[in-house]
Amino acid sequence: MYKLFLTLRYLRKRRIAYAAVGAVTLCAAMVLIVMSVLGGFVQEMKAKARALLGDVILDNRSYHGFPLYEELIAEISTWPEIQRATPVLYSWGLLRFPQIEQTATVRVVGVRLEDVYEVNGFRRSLYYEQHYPGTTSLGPQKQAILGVAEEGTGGALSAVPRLPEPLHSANERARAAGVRDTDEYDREWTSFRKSLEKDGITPYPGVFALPDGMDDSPRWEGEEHPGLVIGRDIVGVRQPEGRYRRLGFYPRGYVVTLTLLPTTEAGDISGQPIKRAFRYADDSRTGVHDIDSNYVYCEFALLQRLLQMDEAQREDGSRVPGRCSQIQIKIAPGHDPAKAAERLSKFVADFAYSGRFALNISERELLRRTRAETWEQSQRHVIAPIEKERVLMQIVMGIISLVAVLLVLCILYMIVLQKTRDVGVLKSVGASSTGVGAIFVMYGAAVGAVGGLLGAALGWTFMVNINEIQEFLISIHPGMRVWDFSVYAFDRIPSRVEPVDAVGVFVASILACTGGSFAAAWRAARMEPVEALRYE
Amino acid sequence: MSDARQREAGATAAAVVGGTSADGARGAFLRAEGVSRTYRLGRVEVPVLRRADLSVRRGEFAAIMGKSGSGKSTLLHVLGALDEPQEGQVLVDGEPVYAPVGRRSYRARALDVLSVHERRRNRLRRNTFGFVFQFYHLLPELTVFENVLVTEMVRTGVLRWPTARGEARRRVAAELERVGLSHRLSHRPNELSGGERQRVAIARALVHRPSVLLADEPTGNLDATSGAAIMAIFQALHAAGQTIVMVTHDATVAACADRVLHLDDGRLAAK
Ligand SMILES: Nc1ncnc2c1ncn2[C@@H]1O[C@H](COP(=O)(O)OP(=O)(O)OP(=O)(O)O)[C@@H](O)[C@H]1O
Ligand SMILES: [Mg+2]
Repeated sequence: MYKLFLTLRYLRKRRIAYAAVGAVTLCAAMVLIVMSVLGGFVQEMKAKARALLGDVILDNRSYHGFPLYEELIAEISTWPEIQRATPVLYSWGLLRFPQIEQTATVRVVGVRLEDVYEVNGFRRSLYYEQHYPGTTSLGPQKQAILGVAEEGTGGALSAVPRLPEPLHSANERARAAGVRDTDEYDREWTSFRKSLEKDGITPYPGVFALPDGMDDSPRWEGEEHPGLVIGRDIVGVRQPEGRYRRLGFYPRGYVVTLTLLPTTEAGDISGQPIKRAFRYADDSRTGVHDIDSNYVYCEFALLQRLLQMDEAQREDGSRVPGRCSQIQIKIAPGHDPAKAAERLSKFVADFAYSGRFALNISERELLRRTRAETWEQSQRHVIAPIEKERVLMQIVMGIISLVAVLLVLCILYMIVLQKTRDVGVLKSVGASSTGVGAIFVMYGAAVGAVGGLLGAALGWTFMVNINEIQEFLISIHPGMRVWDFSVYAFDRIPSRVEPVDAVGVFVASILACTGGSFAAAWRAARMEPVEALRYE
Repeated sequence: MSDARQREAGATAAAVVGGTSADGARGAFLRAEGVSRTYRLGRVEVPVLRRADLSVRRGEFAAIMGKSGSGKSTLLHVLGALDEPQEGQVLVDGEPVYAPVGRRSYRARALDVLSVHERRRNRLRRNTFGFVFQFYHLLPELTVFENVLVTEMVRTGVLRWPTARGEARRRVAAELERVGLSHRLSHRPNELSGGERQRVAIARALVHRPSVLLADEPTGNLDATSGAAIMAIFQALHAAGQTIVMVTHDATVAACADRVLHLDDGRLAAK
C-alpha cells in the first residue's frame, strides 16, 4: 500500500516529474504522428492500387497476352469466391491532341466499362462521371455544344445557356447533390465561367464546347468517334495545393488521335502503325501520379481489334483465339483473396494442358505462364518501399524516444538520490527491497502512463487537424508547405489515426518509462538502511 | 551485565508486548553475543564494536552511554536488525537476527529478497522493533499523521489495507495523542520544532506496539523541558512493561533507566 501512496505523493510533490512527463508526451505524440501519416500513406496507396486492379489479377506479364480468357472467365465465374471477372488489354500508343499540339506516349488500356465498374473502383476515379453520372461512355459519341435554350412559357421567354440532354439533367442532379468543380482553368475560360455565374448558372466543368454564335441551341455535333478516358495528369497539371490546372482549353468531346503498334500472332511488331481518332470522354484521377500521367482507357473490343489480338481464322481454316493481357477479378465478400489466387494459379496451369481446346505450342505457353496474384502482391514494388520507410521512421523515432527514456532515467535517479533518507526509513520499518524498488518502478510507469496518454491525445488532435495546421503554416509563409500535392499523390494529408497505433504508443511509453526506472529502482532496492539514513 | 536488576513483567506488560509466554519473559529477550562491527575507510579499518555483549530482559529499560563516536548508534543499529555485524549474533527471543557468520556477504547482496534471513530481518523490523533515530528522519513530503501512517502501510499488504485502514488510522491518531501532537496532525515536519519532530518519531516507533523500543538519543537535541516531556513518555511506557534500549549521553536521562551501560572501546560495561 505504501508503494502506491508514496508513488502518488512523490508524483505530486516533485515538480521535476512534470519535465519527464512532458518529454514522454512529446515523444509519444511525435511517434504517433509519424506512424499515422506514413501508415495513412500506405493505406491510401493500397486503396488506390486496389481500386484500379480488383482483388486478384491473372496476368502472364507478356505484351502478347494470353488466349482463352473468355473460357476461363466463364469457368471461374461459377466459383463461389469469384464475384466478377473482366478481361483487360494493355498496350502502348502515341496520344496526340490536335488542337493544342501536344503528344505523349501512353499506356493504352482496353476495358469493358460496365464490368470494370463492378470489379474495381475505376468509376470513382472518373471526373466527369462524378459530375454527370451516367454520361461517360467508351462507345461512339459526338461533341456536346453549349447552347441557348428558350425557357419559360407564353410571353416570358428567356434565353438560358444549357447543355444538350442527357448532360443537362445529369448536371442539374449533380448540382443538387452539391458536386463542385475543383479544377482551375486558364484566364479565358475562367472569365467565361464568371460570366456564366453572373447569369445565375453554376459553372460546369469543362465538359462542353462553346457554340459559334450565342443564339445556337444546345446540341451534339460532329463525327462519331469512340470515347477515350485520359489520365488526369496528361491533360492537366497538378498544383502544389492539390488542384488541377487544365492545359489550355480542352473540353470533353474534343478529338484526340491514338497511334498503336499491333503485334503479329508471333508477338512481333510488323507492318503499319494504326492511327485512330477518339473523343476525350473523361479523365481518370486515381491520385496515383504514375497511373494518371501514363494511362488512357478505351473499349476492350476495339483495342483488341486494333491490335489484331481478336479471334481470327488462319489461312488453313484453323481458329486463332482472341487474347487479353490480364483478367481482373473481384472476390466475393468473406473469401480470402490470397487463397483464391492460389486456386486460380493452379486452375490456369491445368487449364492450359486440359486438351479441351485446340492451342498451338506458343499459345499454350502463354496460358501456362499466367499466374494469379492478389493486388497487394502485384503492387509490392510501390507499397513495399513506403512500408520500409515507415519501419525506418519508427526506428529513428524509437531512437529519439530513447532520449526521453534516458531523461526519465536521470530524473528518477535524481529523485532516488533525494529520497535516500526516505528509503532508509522505509527499510528500517521493514519495507522489503523489492517493495522500495517498486515505488520507483511504479513512479516510472506512472510517468509513462500520463505522458503516453497525453502524447497519444496530443498526437491524435494534431493528426485530426493536420491539414488545417498545414493551411495555417502556409498562411504564415508559403515555404512552410510540408506536403506538396504536386509531389505526393493525395489531395489531403492522410489524417486517420489507427486506434491500435495510439494504444501501441501508450503502452510503449509505459514500457519504456518503466524500463527507464529500473536503474533508479535498483539503486533504491539495494541500499542498506543505515547507509541510506546516513546519506547526506 | 549479570548484575542487571531484574524486573518482573506484570500482566499489563505482557499485554503490551504482544502476549508472549510468561516463561519467555523471564530470560534475556534481546541478546547481543560478541558482535563486532568494523568500518573500512579505504585501506584503514576502523573497529567500532569489538565483540560486544549485551542482554536485555523483557520489560527492562536499559540506557547506553558513551563518548561521541564510541559506536552507540552503531550498536543500536546492529541490535535493531538494521546493520549487519561482521562477527557475533543478535538474538531476539532466542531467534537469530542475522545469517550465520560464514554466510554474511556484507554489501554484496542486492535484491536479496529470496533469502530467509533478509525476510526474517524485514519481519523483525516491521513487527518486533521500534526505532527512534538520532536525527528524527521523517519523510518531508508527508504530514505528521501520514509519517506515522506510512509505517502502518508498510506493515499491511495492499490487499489487507482496505480492511485494516480504519483501525490503523485510529491507532495512529491515538499514538500521536499520547505524545501530545493531536493539534499538529496535518503539519509537515519542516513546520515542527525539534521536540515535536522527536515526538512524531517516537509515535512512529511505537504505533505498532513493538516488543523492543530502540531510541537513539531521544533527548539529544532538545532543551531540558522538552527532554523531560519525552522522558515522561518513556517512563510511562516502561511502567506499562515496554522493553526499551536507549542511547544517551545525558546522565540525568540515563538515571530513568533500570540499568546503565557504558560503551567504551567497542565493549559494554555496567556502571
Ligand atoms: N558508514 C560509516 N563509515 C565509516 N565510519 C563510520 C560509518 N558509520 C559510523 N562510522 C564511524 O563509527 C564510529 C561510531 O559511530 P556512531 O555513529 O555509532 O557513534 P555514536 O556513538 O553514535 O556517536 P554520537 O554520540 O556522536 O552519536 C564513528 O567514529 C564513525 O566515524
Ligand atoms: Mg549516535
